[in-house]
Amino acid sequence: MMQLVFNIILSFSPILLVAMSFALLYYPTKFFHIAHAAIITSSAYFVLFFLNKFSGNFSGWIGYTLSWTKRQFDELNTGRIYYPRFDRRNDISVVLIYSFTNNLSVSATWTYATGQHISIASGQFGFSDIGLNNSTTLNYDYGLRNDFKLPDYHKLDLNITYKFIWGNLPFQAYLSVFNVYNRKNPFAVYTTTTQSSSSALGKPELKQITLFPFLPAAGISVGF
Amino acid sequence: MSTKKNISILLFLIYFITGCDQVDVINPEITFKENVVVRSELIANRKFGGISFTKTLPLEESYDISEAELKDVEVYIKVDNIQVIPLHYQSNGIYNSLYEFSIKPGSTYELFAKYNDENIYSITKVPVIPVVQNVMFSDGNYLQGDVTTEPDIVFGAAWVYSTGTVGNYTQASDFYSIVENVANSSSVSVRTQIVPQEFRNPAVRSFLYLQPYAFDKAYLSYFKTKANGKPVEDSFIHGGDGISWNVQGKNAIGLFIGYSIGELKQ
Repeated sequence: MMQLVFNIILSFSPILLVAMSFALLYYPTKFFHIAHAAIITSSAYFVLFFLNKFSGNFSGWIGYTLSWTKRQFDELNTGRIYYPRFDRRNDISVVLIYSFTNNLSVSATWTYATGQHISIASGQFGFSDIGLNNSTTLNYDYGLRNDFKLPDYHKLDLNITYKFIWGNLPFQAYLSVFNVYNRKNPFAVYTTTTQSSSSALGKPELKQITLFPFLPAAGISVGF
Repeated sequence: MSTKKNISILLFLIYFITGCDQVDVINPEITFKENVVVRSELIANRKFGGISFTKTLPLEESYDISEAELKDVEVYIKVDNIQVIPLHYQSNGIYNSLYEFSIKPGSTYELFAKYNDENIYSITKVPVIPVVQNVMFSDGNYLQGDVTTEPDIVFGAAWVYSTGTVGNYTQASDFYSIVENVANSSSVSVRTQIVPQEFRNPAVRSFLYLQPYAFDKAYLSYFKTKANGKPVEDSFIHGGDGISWNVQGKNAIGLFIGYSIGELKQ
């Protein structure tokens, strides 16, 4: 394994902090699965930029990461290099907090990430299994591994927090809205077969799972 | 040092009541790549059943064999590097010879085809008929036995319930496993899927047999990966990798495989 990390941190204390980090990571390794060994060659590179303002009524931070992650297995994807699902070219987080008083603050968080790589069928074919069960079924032709990129992920969250004392205990009431503009960020895309009046084998259907649409929440917490 | 504890009370969270996941049918832009799909099984001592040539279709369509079949493939097979047998289109993408012939155990068959100026090739060896010994009923729910091995051949076993009368024949839906001889021993152990309860009853167990199968080695990779092409039933699992085929050629997939079936044994 070879790893090289280079950091620059500039602090304009107590107001501003700028951090930059560069990293190169490369590791050829060996692991065992089922009953045979396989060689994985992996590499990851990233540049991280982080800007943080932490004093005054208005505070927050911006983080940006540019990264590449690659995998190569001799026994997968015909030995070709592919991007694993967690490869994210761009990753941005923006957090803004404004304190009206010592008790009342609002915050907004916007996150963005390049869409993930997944494997998805590029075609369909009828095929009778060879062996004991020779019935013909609809099969899907998956091309190269993780050759399809999901749409980009992004969402905005808002939060209002009010702090107060009640019975000598510190309370915090909050109202938050997750995914304000109801972005349908895909968690997974998969292929199913539905019945078809025109084909005995059925018709392919691509489905997308979306997690966490527009989601308001309110709560109260107490510390003791 | 004091310990601080926090208790949070969630007043309302609408979507956790109604469900926070949503499933939609989508129609993304997917680059369609047309592949030729080849299928042929060469079963020892049985008549050659032909080779199927079809093509993959885009996902937007319902599968239709008349759209998928290929009618203009140039194809022949070569037996033991001596005999050449040209094949001709019949129907539904099936190509067959003008005369009947049987598949010879122990022979090697090669497939040569050309479609859209691209060559398609495959080779397979038809195993000799496997012989199984030491058949026993293991753990009270499956059959196992020892099969005599030969190089580059893999083996499977099926349970068969047969009373010898027409209509009283049932067999396993698939192999429990396909095994190869990794230890270079003279025999290898094979086992069946679990036998259904109704055929395990001692009163009818005398009609239960083990039937050995021997395949060209390429079948092992196919068997291990054949589920990859199936629809995804678990929505939290993505579609997987491709199926491992033994047909070679640019834009060609498929299986051209020789196998032989042994006698029923108790």
